[in-house]
Amino acid sequence: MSQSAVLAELVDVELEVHRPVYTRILHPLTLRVGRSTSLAVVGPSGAGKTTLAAILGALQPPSGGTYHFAGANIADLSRKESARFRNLNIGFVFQNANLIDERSAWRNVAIALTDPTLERRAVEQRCREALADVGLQAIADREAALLSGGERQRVAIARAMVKNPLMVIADEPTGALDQTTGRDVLALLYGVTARGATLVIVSHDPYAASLAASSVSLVDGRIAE
Amino acid sequence: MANATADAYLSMTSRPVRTVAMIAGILLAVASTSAAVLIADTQQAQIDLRFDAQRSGHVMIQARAPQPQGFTPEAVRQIEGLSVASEAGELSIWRESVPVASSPFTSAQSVPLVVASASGLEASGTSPVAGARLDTIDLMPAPNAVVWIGATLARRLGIRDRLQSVWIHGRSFTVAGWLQNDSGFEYINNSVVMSSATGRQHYGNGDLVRLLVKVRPGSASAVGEFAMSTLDPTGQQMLADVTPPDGEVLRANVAADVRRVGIGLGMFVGLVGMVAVANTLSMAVQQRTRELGLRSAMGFSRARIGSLILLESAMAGLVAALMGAALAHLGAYLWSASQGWEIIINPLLAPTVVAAGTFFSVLGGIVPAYRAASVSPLTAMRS
Ligand SMILES: Nc1ncnc2c1ncn2[C@@H]1O[C@H](COP(=O)(O)OP(=O)(O)OP(=O)(O)O)[C@@H](O)[C@H]1O
Ligand SMILES: [Mg+2]
Repeated sequence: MSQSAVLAELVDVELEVHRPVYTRILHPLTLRVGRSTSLAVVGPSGAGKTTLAAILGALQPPSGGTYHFAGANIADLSRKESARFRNLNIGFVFQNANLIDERSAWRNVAIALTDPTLERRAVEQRCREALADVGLQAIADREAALLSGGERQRVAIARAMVKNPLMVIADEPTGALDQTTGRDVLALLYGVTARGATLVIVSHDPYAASLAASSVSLVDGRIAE
Repeated sequence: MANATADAYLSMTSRPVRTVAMIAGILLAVASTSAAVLIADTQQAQIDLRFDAQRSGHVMIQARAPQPQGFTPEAVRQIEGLSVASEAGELSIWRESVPVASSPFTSAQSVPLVVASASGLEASGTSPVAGARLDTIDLMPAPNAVVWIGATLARRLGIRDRLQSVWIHGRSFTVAGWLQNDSGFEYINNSVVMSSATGRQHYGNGDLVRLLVKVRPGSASAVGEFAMSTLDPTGQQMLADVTPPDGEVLRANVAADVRRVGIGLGMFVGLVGMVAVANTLSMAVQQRTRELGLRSAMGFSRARIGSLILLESAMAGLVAALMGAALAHLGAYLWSASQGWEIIINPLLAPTVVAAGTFFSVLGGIVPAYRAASVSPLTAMRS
């Protein structure tokens, strides 16, 4: 992989916690993720997949090692800086779509557009477009609580993509869906690479992982070869 | 800012019951404070109106036409005979200002010239501090040049000995005694006083011819009416009841007390309201941990998540305060209307209580806002 093709580069990244007891969740690991590609993270429960995704998404600073994203060092960012970093670069899709139930679909997408200088009209326009991209233009005004599981997850994908992030991180995105619905959602998710984003997908589902350009397998906090 | 406001507005309207619970305390506080102040002010105006008529211990009747004969002694005796009246007598301001000097060569002081009878002076609470007894003023033989002077004027003129003379308009008068008043007619302390006969002899008709009646408090208006019809049954003298409004100090105290009670009560309810805001928002923050974690994951900074909650508390406080103030004004207006009173509205009241209500609400939002800002973005992933 050439240097310019690398989006995220983790070198000797590790994570230890000291509370409640000293635990080493991730052993030092080195990992490179390319631009506009997809990476599956697989492994048994408790292996550290979510933890790795959290570090990649700058939700959690590593306790050792270096993490460069598009050439910039992410590992030592302050909380405020990493919030800004996430805001600009990362889209998240969670197992449960994590929508605000009382708000309409487009207003849930709007949560991701945090820039206070954006005009309300422009925000709504962009959100509706993002929903159209996932085939939900018809239900943009429906309250999130009324949406089906598959629709919720598609709203979440629209929310992740509305900012055109460089990386989309999805943790068990189909874990709560039936097979058919899951496949539709996977198709949409993998579609983000065609729009210049890198997809990191954490999944138990061999089919979901098999779609990825590359994969990494974690066992007990280490990369298993 | 507009987006943030819309965001807070959505959070509030999507949970209306919670929002009502949250703002009830502030609403109540603002409403009770405003209502107390409005009613205190309005009622005070009513109390003032009645006090002006009722509280006075004196009745003063003034003639608006020249009185060559003075008040009829028969009528004055009738007024004195009322069970609620004690002394009644003339206490006129014959001239607003006359020049008085202690000798023909010293410079003169400009002081009022009072014409009074012994019972008029007595009714005003004036007492002699030196010299002749008061009743001698009624016993002066007709042509004379005798005066009493107020104690302050005596000092100003440098008079020490009794029976010294003073010069008024260059004419010499014998000083029969000094007078002192501490009961609301203090101008006597700085006046020259002479009998009705002496005043007419030297100065002709008086400027403000008045009859003063000392009455039991509460009966002033009734005695005033009686006095006017008794003194002038035909209405030719054009008498007017000019009973002085006094008791200013008492009035101010009553107003301040009522307001203080209202504001104190309002502050207390306001504190309770603040606790309610803090409580409700704390609970809301707990319920919304997932949403707040999500926002944090989406890249909201801690400051923005905190200000989201603070903005909510500010908006809730503002809405509550506006509603409370409106409610109080409406209530006080209806109440005054039902009493047939004109409502007194201090224009500063509404802005003040609205600002205070919002302030208390924001104060209540601080701890929940801090807790909200502390929600980790990881909760988005692990919930
Ligand atoms: N803050 C923490 N303190 C202590 N232990 C933690 C903490 N966070 C995670 N762990 C532990 O680290 C391990 C890895 O957790 P992680 O959530 O990354 O696993 P996972 O691979 O995503 O598992 P699953 O497939 O069940 O979601 C688990 O044993 C978990 O209990
Ligand atoms: Mg996991």
